[in-house]
Amino acid sequence: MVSRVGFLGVIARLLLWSFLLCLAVVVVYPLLWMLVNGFKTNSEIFGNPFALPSQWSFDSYQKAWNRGVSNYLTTSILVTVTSTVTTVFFSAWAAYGLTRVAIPFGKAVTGVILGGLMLAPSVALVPLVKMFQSMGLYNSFWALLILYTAFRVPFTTFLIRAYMLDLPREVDEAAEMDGCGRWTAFWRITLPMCKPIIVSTVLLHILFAWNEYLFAMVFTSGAGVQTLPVGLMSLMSKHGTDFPVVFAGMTIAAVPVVLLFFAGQRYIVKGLADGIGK
Amino acid sequence: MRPRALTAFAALAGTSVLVLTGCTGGGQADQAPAADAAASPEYSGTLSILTKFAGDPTGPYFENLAAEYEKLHPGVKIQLIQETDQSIKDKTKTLTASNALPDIYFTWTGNWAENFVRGGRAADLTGVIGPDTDWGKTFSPGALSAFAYDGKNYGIPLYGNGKFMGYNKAAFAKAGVQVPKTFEELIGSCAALRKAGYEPISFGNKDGWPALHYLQQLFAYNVPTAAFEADLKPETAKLDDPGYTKALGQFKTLVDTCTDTRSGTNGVLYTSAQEAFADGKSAMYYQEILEFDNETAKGKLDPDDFGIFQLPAPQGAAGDPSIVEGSPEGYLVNAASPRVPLAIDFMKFVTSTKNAQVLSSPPYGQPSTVIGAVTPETSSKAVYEGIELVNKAPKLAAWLDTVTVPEVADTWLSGGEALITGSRTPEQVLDSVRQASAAAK
Repeated sequence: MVSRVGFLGVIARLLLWSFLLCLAVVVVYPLLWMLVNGFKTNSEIFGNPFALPSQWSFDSYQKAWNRGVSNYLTTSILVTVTSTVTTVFFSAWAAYGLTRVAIPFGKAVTGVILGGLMLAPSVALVPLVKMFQSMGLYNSFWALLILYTAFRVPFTTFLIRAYMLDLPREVDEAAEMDGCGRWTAFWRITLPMCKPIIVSTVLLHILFAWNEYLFAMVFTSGAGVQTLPVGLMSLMSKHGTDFPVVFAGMTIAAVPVVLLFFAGQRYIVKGLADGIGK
Repeated sequence: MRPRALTAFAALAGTSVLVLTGCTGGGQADQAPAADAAASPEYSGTLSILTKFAGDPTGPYFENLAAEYEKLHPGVKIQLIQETDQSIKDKTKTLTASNALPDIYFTWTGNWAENFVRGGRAADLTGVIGPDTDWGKTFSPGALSAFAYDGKNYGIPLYGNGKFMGYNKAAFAKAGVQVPKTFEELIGSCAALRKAGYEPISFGNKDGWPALHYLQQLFAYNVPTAAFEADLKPETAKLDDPGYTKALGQFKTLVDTCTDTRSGTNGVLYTSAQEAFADGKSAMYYQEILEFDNETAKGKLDPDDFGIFQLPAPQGAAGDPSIVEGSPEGYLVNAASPRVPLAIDFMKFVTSTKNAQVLSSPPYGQPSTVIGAVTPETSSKAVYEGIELVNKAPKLAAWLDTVTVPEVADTWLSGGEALITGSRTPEQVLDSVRQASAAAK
């Protein structure tokens, strides 16, 4: 059967395509502009902001890499990966305990964990600095790992708990009948069933840890322990910033996240649709 | 009812956590025994320093000095916390609030340093760095006095800074313009420069403070010094001198006559103006000494084409035409530190003539406040010329946004912006500042 698209249909499609094209330009163009500016010189950036560079040289990328971006990148990856693992597992365990195990004062415990959502990070800064200094953790990788985990557990638990509440109890009971203990039930039954929400929380946490600025700025200093958002700021100076180097640094910082998105696109879209949209 | 009870409980739990954590923070500085600054240092332990030198090119300066000092005194370990111009404010505030200030920390002059002095967090160094002491005599007197409060010396000035009009000599020659002697001549030269194909003065006020730099210098010229200094403190401020409205009017004339961006100047980045000058598109650009070497870096303006002059004073102005706008930046020693003598010993090492010369020469290019450290051999011609003018000036006018209280500084800032767009008259701007100053009493 030959399908015929009427005149109005063609117009509608054309409009839709041009709308999507505009959307793509709006999203992709700034990224491309950032990438290209890494190849220009300072005067080219200010003189002809939208022109192509007169010379394609990787100098600025090399400079950015040597000026500490390699260190910031390593720290960022390390902090993001470790804090994602700790946050998601602590939260999943907590959610399992809160939904599947009868604990005394269970409601109160839920209240305390979710109450953590209301604590603004900036309010806690001063006591936290004192605490970390007395524990000798100030200006260390551990400071960021602990903070990122502690401040994200309430939100992540909230999401996973909501998902677990809706899972059928019958499956747990069937597992119990088959002689499955709590440990096995969590790992082999409940956690696999929570895959969509786990993917969503992992993603949300990666985005948080990769871009977090306040804690990273206050709790760390020096190229050894600083993450990308803070490190990139130190490439800028009040008097005479080498902007191509900053753009190059930003491009290098964006690459891992973009790659991650392409690699996990299928899971990401599905995870978000199944998890948060539920 | 149950879900509601749960929500109420969650709210209660959250608030109590907030209150508990809030209560443990802040508070007063630990009561430390008055440190004896003149005692001889004990070379052991860890000395912590908060610097503003993170990133290129200044980053390695303190790193190298720390390594050298540790080699000289093997018992000492130096812990550096290096921050940038942007991040140091938040970092210092948090460290101060949590009583965790390092042994030595960076400070600006004016209100910023005064807060530490008033809060008892800066050690009184009069006995070691006062103007009559051996160490004190090595600094330029103007820089040293910038950190003195109530006759006591607290700060160790590290490098000086001043604001000058940088000009492109080739552009001036092409337009047949001489270096202006008065403010009126400066305004008069703009038409010729524009005719020769240049933007007379590039000016970017997106951040607000660049306008304050013009205003502060013009106030110093137009307002009698005694009145001007009294007006900086809300307790004594009258702000009724006619020099203020004159200066505000002169600034408006400069923006309207000499910039291409005119009332749109608030949308231009400081860096864009800087680049326009470095690329030879504009003939003049009002800048700090710390920027000089950047303008003449490789691929930019030829160092021989780069000249500077002090913003010329208006004819018959009632203030002091010899005042240069600028202020040094330096370091304070933590009054609660158990290692005050060691901290002083380290800062003496940092400000030794040899190390001060290193700081003043490329790649660092920060003009040291130590007398004789900036020489034509170690520094570029323009930096040498600028710092000489600063050192010779009988008085410096510190940046308007650091010298007065934040509420008044903010009102000047928005006033400068409103003046540029033309939404407020000089009288209206001065009126709003007067109100802010009265409210800040």
